[in-house]
Amino acid sequence: MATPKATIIPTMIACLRKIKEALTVVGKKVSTVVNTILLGVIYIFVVGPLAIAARLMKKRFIQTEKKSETYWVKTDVGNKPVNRYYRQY
Amino acid sequence: MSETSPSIATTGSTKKLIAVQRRTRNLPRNPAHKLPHNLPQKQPHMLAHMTNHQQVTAKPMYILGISCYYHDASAALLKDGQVVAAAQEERFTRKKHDSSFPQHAILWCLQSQGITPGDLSRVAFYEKPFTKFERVLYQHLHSFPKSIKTFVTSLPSWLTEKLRVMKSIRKLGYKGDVFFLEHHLSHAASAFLVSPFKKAAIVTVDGVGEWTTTTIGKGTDSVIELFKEIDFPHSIGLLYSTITAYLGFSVNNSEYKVMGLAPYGDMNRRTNLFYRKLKSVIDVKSDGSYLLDMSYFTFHYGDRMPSNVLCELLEGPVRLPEADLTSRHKDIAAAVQLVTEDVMTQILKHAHDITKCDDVVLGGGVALNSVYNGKILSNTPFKKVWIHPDPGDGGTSIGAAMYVWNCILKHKRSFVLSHASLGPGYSTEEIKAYLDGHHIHYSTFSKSDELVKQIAMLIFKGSVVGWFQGRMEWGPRALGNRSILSNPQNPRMQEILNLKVKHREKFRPFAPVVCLEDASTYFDCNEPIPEITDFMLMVYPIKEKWRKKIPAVTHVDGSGRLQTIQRFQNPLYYDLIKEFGRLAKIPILINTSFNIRGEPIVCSPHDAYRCMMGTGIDCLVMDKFLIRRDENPNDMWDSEQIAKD
Repeated sequence: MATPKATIIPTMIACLRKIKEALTVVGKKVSTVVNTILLGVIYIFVVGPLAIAARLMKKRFIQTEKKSETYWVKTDVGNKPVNRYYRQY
Repeated sequence: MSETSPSIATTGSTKKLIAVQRRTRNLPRNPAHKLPHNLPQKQPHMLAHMTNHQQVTAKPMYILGISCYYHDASAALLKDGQVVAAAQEERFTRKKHDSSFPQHAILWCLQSQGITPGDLSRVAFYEKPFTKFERVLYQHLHSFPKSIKTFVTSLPSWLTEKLRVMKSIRKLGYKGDVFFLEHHLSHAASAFLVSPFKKAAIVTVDGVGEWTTTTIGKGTDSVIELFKEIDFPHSIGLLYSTITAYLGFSVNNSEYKVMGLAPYGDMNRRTNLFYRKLKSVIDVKSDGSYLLDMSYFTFHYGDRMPSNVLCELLEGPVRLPEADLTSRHKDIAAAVQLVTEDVMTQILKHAHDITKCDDVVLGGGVALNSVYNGKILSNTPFKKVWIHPDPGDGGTSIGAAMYVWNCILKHKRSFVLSHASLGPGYSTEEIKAYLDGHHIHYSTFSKSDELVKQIAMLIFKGSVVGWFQGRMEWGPRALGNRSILSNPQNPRMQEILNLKVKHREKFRPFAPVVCLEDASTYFDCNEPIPEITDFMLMVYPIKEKWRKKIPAVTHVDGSGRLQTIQRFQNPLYYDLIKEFGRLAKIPILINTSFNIRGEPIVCSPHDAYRCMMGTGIDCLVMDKFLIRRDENPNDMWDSEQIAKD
């Protein structure tokens, strides 16, 4: 016959796991809402002013238009010093 | 049915990953992971100068290559410059195009060699995350305020994982050097460094890496130089993906469906109205460089790729998935295929002009366009072409590792990727243990001759056979180790396979497999036949007189994406095709990937059995065991409900 300890502890562990799963689901939803609000604020108050200032100064971050005989851009990828490859940029 | 995977930890926790590694450190190497014994052995020469004592005690150098976080995460392991293991993460997690950090693939690679992360000499990552993040931020600065939705949805993954690659690698327990290569350099390396060419032009074309979308360069021995590039947002890969999205298919997943749909449309440049319209969207110079008119696209700021302006140009809204495909959609598919072919031809001609090489290697996702690949040698001055079996992002793990070995550590090239059997294999004992453990009814062949004869007869009589042998293929194609095989002479077989087995669109063609020496009998191929037909990367016309005799593999325009096979590559598969040829008089089989639509190709015996029992596959051959679907009625289930892209 199983002792009370042998049945109670696994049951408690199973219950705690279910609570943890439920809290994880709730936590993910909360983090989505918080992330959305925070990132929205960053987008409007950080990215926005930078973007507007750049437009006023006629700075282009992406070349969408170009008048040129060729659209190839020279590059020298490959054959770099080894220490270049330790960098993530 | 419970899923068991004897060799692989399936938990997501990296602490458990390290614990499993510690437990398995002293396990003997699984003999199933050996290459086929009659494959020509390419021996490394770097130990030749050492004394016998030094050779015995010299420790092998293992380099791990990793690609992840966008689509098709994968890992590859080199041992002294030879690729000994490589696999996509999706095959283990069963999530198609899984982009997460490939911990399962890495663990399997290490286990297959009986090593731990501490035994690795170097790790190579396939791109520069911070440079890519710079491009993403610039997109948002350029597109403010239209990009707010993508900013809010995409930035968390950057901050939590994509910019923390080093942390993920260190969590494996590896403390050594980590190299970060440029994205297109990894593509170039995966194409050139494992090719049979000593010198070749290199052309890489994909959606986008960090900033680059297209490059031209040259490879000589162990040196790769990339000279020119085209930068985001101008991308032929993203043009193709935009039209894929417009036609209602999923991006980075279904571009090949557009390629298959194109022959149903008007492939005449003079009469296809949409060809002329799409030409107005892209300005192509005589040197192959091009510029997209970004008013037609929204991928630089939005999650929807075609703009309203493009929808107006193409005379209709974006097609809903599963809606009917009209002749307009087919003509649009044909148009984007023709435009892509035009641009690629110009790029390749320019690459030939500046490199003066007769050989070319292609990399990047656009190199999966096998319809165009079959036209390269006839449309350009190149004499030979080679393409990696996985030219997309999945293949860059091999490229990154090979670049470290050959170009950074300056070892001579000694490896050619002549076959794609680089993934997990299962021994006879493991398969038998699975079948017995799950009380599956099966029969056993005592000899391979008997197996070949019986299976060939089953296929000849119309059965659809799941074929699970040897090591899983590397790349998106099934090449005879994880394949579904059937009779191409049956005019109903295309319909049977599409509807009952694969649960996919009716227009999708199937691919033929033929022995190399028979290929030119049935196909109008280049002579000599390019080696990459072994990897199913070329589409050729089927000769007129055979088209009606093998209707199930003849596409609407008379073409077929053939796989060629030589006996030393896969003796059992080769013998099966020959035996079928003796019965049916035409030694060609249908070879399609062993998977349910929306799922990755099967990896383990459990995956294969599950796939058979959920579809119309009649029987499954695993090693020397034959399992019939109708002998296991309790395990039947219907996969049609879950079949989706």
